[in-house]
Amino acid sequence: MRVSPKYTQIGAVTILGAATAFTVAILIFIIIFVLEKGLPVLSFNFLFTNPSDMGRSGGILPILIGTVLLPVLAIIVAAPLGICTSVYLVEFTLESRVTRLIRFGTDCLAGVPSIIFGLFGFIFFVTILGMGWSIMSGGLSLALMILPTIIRTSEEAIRAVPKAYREVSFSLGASRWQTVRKVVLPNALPGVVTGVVLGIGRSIEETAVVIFTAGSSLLIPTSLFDSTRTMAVHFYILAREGLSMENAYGTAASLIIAVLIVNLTAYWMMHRFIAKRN
Amino acid sequence: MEDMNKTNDKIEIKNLDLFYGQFQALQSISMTMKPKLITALIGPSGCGKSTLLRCLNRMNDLIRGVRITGQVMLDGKDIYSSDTEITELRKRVGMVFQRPNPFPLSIYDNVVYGLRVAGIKGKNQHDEIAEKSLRSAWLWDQLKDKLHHPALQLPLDQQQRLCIARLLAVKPEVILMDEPCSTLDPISTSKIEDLMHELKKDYTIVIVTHNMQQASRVSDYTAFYYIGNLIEFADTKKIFTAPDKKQTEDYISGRFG
Repeated sequence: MRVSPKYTQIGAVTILGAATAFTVAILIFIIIFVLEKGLPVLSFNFLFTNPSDMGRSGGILPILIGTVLLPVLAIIVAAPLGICTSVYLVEFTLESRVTRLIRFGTDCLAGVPSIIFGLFGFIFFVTILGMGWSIMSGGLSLALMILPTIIRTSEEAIRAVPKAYREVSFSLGASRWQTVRKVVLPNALPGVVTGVVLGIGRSIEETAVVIFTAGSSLLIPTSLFDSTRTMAVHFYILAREGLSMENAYGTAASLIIAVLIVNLTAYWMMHRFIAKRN
Repeated sequence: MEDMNKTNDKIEIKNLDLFYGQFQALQSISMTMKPKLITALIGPSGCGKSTLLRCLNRMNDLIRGVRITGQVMLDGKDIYSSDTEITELRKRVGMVFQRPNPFPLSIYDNVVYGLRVAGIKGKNQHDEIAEKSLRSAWLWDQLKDKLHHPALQLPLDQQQRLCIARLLAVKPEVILMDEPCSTLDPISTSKIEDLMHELKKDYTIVIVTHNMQQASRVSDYTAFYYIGNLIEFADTKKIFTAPDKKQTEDYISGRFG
C-alpha cells in the first residue's frame, strides 16, 4: 500500500526534527551539567593562583598556561604545514595514484586513536630526540595529531573555490602561485579557518597525547622544555584519583568556556574578513 | 578569402589537431584572424569552436589529457613553441568568458587585478588605468562613485563589461570571447555588441557564439565548424548570404544545430 506523500512528508519532518532536537538537547544538557557544577568554583582566584596539595585546593594558573601553550605550539607547527600540503595537493599535482595514496594516508591518520600519537610522541620526541616530557614534545605530538584534520578540511575548502576564478586569473596572465595567493586562498579562507579551529579544539581537549608527551607537572613552565599539564589532563587526574571533584568541575567549566571563546573569536574574525572583502 | 594578405594576419592557425585522450576534437584546422577585425566562430554544440578558442591563449593546457599538434602563430611566432612564456601570452591574448565572472572583490580591485599580478605598482598609475579601462567598457560614468563597492552586486551586463574592463587593463592585443552574451538579456547583449564594435578599433577580436544573428551583426569574418572540422571560412556577408558549402547553408538557415 502506498502511503500518501503528505504523510511521508510529515513523518520525515518529525523524525528529522526529533533527531536534531535530541542531539541539541544532549549537548545543552552536558554543557549545563558541567557549568552548573563548575561555575560556582570559577573565580578570578581559581584561574590565577597556583594549585596546592596536588590540586585538591588552590587554583589552576600553571594549567591555564599549559592549556594555552600546547595548542598554540601545535597550531604554529601544524597550520602552515597542513595548509601548504593541501595547496600543493590541490593546485600543483594532478590527481593520480600518488595523490590518492596521500589522501588515503591522511584519512587513515585522521582516524588513528590519539593515544597512538601519544605513544609515538613518547617514543620519538620524549625518548629518541631526548626532549623529555615537555611542552615541546607535547606540542609537536599534538601537531601531528591535528595535521590530517587541517590538511583534509583545507583541501576541501580549496577545492570548493570555483574553477572559473582560477581560469580568469590565469587568463589575465597570473602564474599559478599568484592565483593561489590572490584568489584561491582568500576564497578558501573560511574553510581553512574551520580546519584550524577544529585543530585547536582537538588539541585543547586532548588528554592521552598530553599525558604521554608533556607529562603532568603542576609548576609554571619557564621554558618550552619544561613539563606541563593542560586543563583536560588536570580534570582527568583530579577526577580519577578522587582528589577534588569540585576543582575538577571548575577546570572542566574553564575548558568549555575556553573552547567557546576560541570558536567564537575565530568565527568573528572570519566574518570580519569576509565582510571586509565584500 | 583571396584578399587576405598573409603577412598581415594577427593569428594564423596551421594544421591544428587537438585530442582529448584518444578522442580527436579538432581536425587539421587552418585559418587566420585579421588584426582589428572581428572573427566569429559558429557551429552547433560540441563542434569544437570553444576548444579552438581556448587554443589561442593556451587555456587548454589546464585540462589534463589534452594533446595539440600543429601551430598557432601570433604575429608570426608559434605560441606552442617551447620558449613561449605562457603568462606573457595570456596578457597579449585575453579572454572574456561565458558567464560574467568578476572576483568577489571590489570593482576597483577587479579592474587592477591584472596590473597587480604583472607587478605594475603605483596607486596613480592604477587609478589612471582603471579609469581608462572602465571608460573603454562604458562603465566609468555609472561606476565612478562606487569603485569600492562589491563587483558581484552589479547587474549581470555590467559584470560582464567589468570583466572586459579588467581585461583591457592588461592591454591585450587580442580579445577572445567565449559566448560572452549567452547569459544576458537582449538589451544587455546589444550593449556588449556595440562595445565590441568600439573595441574593434584597437583590438583583434575572436568570438564564439551560438547566436547566428549575433555573428552576422558583429563579425567581419565567420568560420563555421562542424564536429571538429572547419567547414567554411569566409567574409561574414558571404557566409550568411551565399555560402559555398551545403552544410553551412543548412546550419545558418536553421535546418540543424
